[in-house]
Amino acid sequence: MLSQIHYDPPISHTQKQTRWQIPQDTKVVAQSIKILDLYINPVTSTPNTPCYFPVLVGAYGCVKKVQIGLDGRIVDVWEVQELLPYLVAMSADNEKNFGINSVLYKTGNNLELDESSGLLTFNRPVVDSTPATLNLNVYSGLLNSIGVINSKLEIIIDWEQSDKKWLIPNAGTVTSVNIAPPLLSYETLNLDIAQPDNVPYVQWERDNWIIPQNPNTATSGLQKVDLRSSGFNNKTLGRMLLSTCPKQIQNLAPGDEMKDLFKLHGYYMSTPMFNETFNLAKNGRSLLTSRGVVNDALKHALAVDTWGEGCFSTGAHINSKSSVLKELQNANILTGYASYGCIEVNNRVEKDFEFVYNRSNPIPTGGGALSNTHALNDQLSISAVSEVECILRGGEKVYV
Amino acid sequence: MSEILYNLSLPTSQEPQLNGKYGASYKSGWGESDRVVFKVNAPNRKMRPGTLRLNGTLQLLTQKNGVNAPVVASDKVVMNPNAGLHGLIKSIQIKFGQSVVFFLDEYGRFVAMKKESKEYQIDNGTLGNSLCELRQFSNDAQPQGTDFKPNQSLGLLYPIDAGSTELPFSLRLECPLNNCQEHIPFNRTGEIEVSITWQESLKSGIVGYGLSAGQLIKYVCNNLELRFMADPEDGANTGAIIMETASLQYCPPILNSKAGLEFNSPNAFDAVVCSFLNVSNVPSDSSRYDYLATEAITEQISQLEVKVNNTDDFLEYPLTLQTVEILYNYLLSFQPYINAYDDTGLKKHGLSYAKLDQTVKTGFGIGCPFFGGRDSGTTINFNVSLNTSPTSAYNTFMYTIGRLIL
Repeated sequence: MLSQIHYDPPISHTQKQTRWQIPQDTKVVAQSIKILDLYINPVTSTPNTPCYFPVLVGAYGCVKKVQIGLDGRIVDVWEVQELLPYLVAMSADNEKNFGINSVLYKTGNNLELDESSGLLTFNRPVVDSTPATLNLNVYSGLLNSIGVINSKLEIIIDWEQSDKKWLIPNAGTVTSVNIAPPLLSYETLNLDIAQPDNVPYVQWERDNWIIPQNPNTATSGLQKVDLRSSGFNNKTLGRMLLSTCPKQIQNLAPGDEMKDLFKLHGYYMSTPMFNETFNLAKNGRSLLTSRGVVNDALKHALAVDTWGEGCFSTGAHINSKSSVLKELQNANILTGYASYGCIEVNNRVEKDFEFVYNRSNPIPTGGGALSNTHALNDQLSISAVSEVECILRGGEKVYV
Repeated sequence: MSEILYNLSLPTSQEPQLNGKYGASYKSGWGESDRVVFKVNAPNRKMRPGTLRLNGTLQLLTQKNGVNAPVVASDKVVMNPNAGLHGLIKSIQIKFGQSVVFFLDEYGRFVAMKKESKEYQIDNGTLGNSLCELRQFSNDAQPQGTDFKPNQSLGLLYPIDAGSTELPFSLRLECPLNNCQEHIPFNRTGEIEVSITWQESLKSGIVGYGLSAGQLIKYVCNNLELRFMADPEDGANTGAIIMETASLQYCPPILNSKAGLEFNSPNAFDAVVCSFLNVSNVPSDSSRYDYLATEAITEQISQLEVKVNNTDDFLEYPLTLQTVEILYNYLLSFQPYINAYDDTGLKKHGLSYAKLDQTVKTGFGIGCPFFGGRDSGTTINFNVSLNTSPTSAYNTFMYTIGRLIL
């Protein structure tokens, strides 16, 4: 037998964290590693209420952090949920029936494609539990690069504790969530294949800032903020996602406001950095042309160029007039975590990356308006999430 | 590792001054029948394919009896759902150094045809390729009738005061520089000149279904720039670089139940696609018909034969099944060599469910892929038999799709 599929139970499991270990010299096919039979049992204030995964990220949203360790060293860490819509969209075909559209335990109703109309609907009758499957290479650049792993492999998953980020009850609130111990599935080879000595791979890293409330409350009041990041010093960056989220939205309490939260997030994401513009610079020289990114169309264009054509096919719908989206909007299953801007940096940063951020107060008629309680001049958090080039050399991670 | 990836090219001439044309309340800019030229160059670099975009802003206004007014929401302006703002462009010409390598007339119609042929499945046209285009800004649902043709509710919602606003757009140009698998080194092309001629307003696919008879929609484009990404030259692209190209061949209108569409292409080509427009639907004002819509004449086709050089029947049997054979060949013609023989995307497009119905409703054309290509000078005949003679003539827009090899 040339290959074999394994299904390993975790060596430890709590509602916060699950761990698996695969012994040395197992010859694991890295890309085949997935979490299988992920049963999620939400308890809701209204019994047997259907719960939905957010449509852009599906069950992938329940993962807060992924750590991959080789021979006792953590070499790849993923904890940037802002990226999920993009990462899942990029592997969309395979995820369609698993990550995105997975049916939650005892929930029954779920997205279903109605072939006669071509619309996504919610008409599926109540069914028994359907477990989700998560491909771990969606999160991990290392797993996509390394090929075969002979080292002792450790996978550590931290589960997202705030269900408001990844679970939407049809009515009432989610009072608790129980995640049953899932299996780790992977393929091993019975061939004499060695793990490569040097593995170039990409890891996602983040830097954060807080933007204070816009003090200029007049209509068209501008706020310009110059930021510097030392978090990427001496690293080589590839694609970068800049996302902003009002602190008020981040801090929303679960409850009835939940639906607004997702609606707002979805809407917010679909109007990329509405009234926000940005530019990045290295050593005082702008990386983007001209004045930077100055309008929504250019932000969309940059995002498509950076992340590929399919990256926003769903996100864009949120703000479209498509009947498909109307369905989604009515069901409050839209999600997104923030507004965004994308750029391909493709530079090595020796010292302090410069980021210029501008926003203005007014909300033009007909688009982009958040509700009164979440005005665009709120305090904001901004995060820059970037591909960082690494090499696994002699079992250790080295920045290029 | 590059220092700066994003590059910019500005027009080589100043914006035309339109104040005399549309009144002082409208900015200067490019309007119908104007031409704008860009010189694109980045020494020691190579253009990343798929990144050439035309950015700018747009103002719309209505005109009747010489009186101009800003477009307002009640004018209910929509755009051809497949062409988007590409419909504003009449033709594109590209020169490498002094050589014209690409000229495509009726550009907007070709974009509309090609976009409709792509894999949309359930998302009705907001794939990344068309994401950045203004599609409509009316808050009302679009009409479903046969006159307007754009019967989908699509697109990005822009402010409803768009008439007095400059709407930003970013179009990924449908041209060989973007339809290429490899980087395009400037040290092999020399300076690239991109010339764009703007379309007549009535033929731009912009329709206002709240307008009155005789009312026209006019447009002005400002702040134009070409943006592209260019990586450092590393000497890797030394072999042949293949780009997809297209050109328009005019054909006589169809009027009889049996029609022969014949043309000689001046360029080598891999496929031919053809769409139709009823001459009575050529719009005389902006209140009724979308010029870029494809007529559903093919619903009436009972048989299609394809001949090469008037002798050989290219197809073993004439095509007779409209929504299977004729539509299949039409859609397949849009990917004649890059994905030759791989019709996965095609099946997803709509030979399965919703999109097929939509495509048939809104109209589709005829086409034939000639796998392996045909030389310039080859004569192609499409012999079309219709169930009944059309009551008015159909203009035919026949495009060849081929390869430009650098």
